[in-house]
Amino acid sequence: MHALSAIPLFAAAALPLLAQTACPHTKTKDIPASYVMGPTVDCDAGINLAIGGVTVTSAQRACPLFAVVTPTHQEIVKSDLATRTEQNGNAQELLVTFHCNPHYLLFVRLSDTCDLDRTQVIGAVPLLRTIECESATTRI
Amino acid sequence: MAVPVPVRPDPAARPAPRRWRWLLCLAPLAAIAAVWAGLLPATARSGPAAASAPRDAPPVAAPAVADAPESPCTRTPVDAAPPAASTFAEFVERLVAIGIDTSRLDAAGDREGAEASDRRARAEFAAMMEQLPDAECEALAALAGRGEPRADDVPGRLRRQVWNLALRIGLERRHRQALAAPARRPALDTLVAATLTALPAGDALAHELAEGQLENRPYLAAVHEPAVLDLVARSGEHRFPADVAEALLTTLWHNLQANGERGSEELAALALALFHDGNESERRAAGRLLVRDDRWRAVVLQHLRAAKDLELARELALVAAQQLAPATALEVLATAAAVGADTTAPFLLLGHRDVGALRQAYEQRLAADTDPQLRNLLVAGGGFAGTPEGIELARLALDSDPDADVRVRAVFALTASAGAALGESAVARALDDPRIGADPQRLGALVQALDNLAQLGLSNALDRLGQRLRLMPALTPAARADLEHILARALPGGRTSR
Repeated sequence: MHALSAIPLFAAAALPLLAQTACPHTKTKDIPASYVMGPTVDCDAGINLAIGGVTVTSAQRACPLFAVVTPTHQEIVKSDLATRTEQNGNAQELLVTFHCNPHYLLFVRLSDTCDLDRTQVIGAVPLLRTIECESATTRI
Repeated sequence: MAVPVPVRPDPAARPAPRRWRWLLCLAPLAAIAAVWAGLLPATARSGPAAASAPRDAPPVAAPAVADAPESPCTRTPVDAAPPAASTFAEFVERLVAIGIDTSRLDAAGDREGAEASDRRARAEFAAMMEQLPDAECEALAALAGRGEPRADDVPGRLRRQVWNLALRIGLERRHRQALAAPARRPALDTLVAATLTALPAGDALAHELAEGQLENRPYLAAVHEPAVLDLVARSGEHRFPADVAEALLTTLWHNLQANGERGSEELAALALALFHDGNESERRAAGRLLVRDDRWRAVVLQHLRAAKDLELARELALVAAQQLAPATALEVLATAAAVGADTTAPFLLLGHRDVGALRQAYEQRLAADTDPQLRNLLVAGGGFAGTPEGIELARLALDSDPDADVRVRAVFALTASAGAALGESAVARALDDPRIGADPQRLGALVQALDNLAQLGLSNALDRLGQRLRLMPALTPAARADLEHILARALPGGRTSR
């Protein structure tokens, strides 16, 4: 990770304001969509589900208790060019909970499902874009 | 040369002759080799019945070991054999038919009929396992010899589930027998060894058999160590799925310690060596072992700080959140967050185990006004636990935290979990804070929290908050579009009352 990406988002987002007199020489870097699954319970079905632009997949017999889905977003890194970044939106970071729904009547559990229980928004990640500095080229 | 093997009595009921232990290992290999090479007899290749030879047919030696005594999977009736019973393949086909029938009855709403059909299936399966003492061996050979069926091949998928279930029950049976009489342990060890031998045939099969039969189960033992290490070495050469190799090694080490086959010192020494010099699977498995060990955890955390290995940090944080005492787990989670692995998942996991620990850690840092990023994650972990104590933690953060981003996180938790009144008032209070209400970025994030209220059907709260947000000058065009999108889903025509 680039050192500049450690700059807190909101501090970094203030940089464009300074660009009126000085170009911060920053650009965006895409952080691909990802998910992290919590522990799984034994189930005769896993999940293969598109959520928030991410396909969340578990092992075939593992139903996760939850998954945290982070959509594609951007972070700010240094640039050699006279560019800066600005925020043009937010994307939702989601907490998705599941439960195993065994159709226990079936001895051979053909129809077991790992069902989506609930989706909650647990945070927001920034959507940024890179734009040219107006005129100034001074590094800050 | 074919050596007759009596079907009864149950061979698992006495220690297996030593030579059979290795012959059984060869059975799935023989099946795989035969399928690949097209060597199986036409009758055996022609359909599902390929899983086993008919019991009343002449004995068929596994082709790949034709010069050796045939495997225990090849059964030959003895002279005084009882009347011919069903073969494994016949049992499987009957179970598949019953499964389809049960599905049809269930889909038609005939609950009683489905229950009756299910009882028939259970009885049939029990009869198969009782009458065929090597059913699990045949199941393994069938699984290893045939690929994953298509999604629309219902009989094929059912058949594979029966095979998997037979293998699972067979492993459990042998494990119980080994616990009751250690002299019978070789029967389990041989089947496990045969399963390990089958794994490299394909990634899908490796996942299916390892995850379904071996991982996190007590079957792997010291005798399987060379085979597991071989799979780990293959994973280092990208010839075997690394996640499967890591899980098997983790399971093996856990079992070795639990069974007393390896001392913790010995395992820790091996893990330390692999942690520093092993391949990816070895390092991860070693990290998982060492982070659970009070003596070596500091070494692992120091490595995380020095190497900034984010993937390993995330993985170990999840392990810690699940398996360590909460206070100890928090030490790992804090280290992972500090090196940049600031994912919320381990905190959510720990929050479900012990919100109190998160709250205590939060209060300590709030009092000292340190680690705002960690405070943010602690509020996420506690606030989304869905308990009153977690909601109290989020309320405390909204009321008292000096960091605006932590307060925004608290709003997300309260809108998701705290009910109508508290969720709405949390958003309203955040809007009153100029560090949030006048900040375009934070205000845009806050808009996303309204989605939690929308999902709970709190349209009146959304109506009021929507009106207020529309008038806020710091709302960017993008955030305004997000707001209108949420209102459109929650309110008729997306219109507020004023």
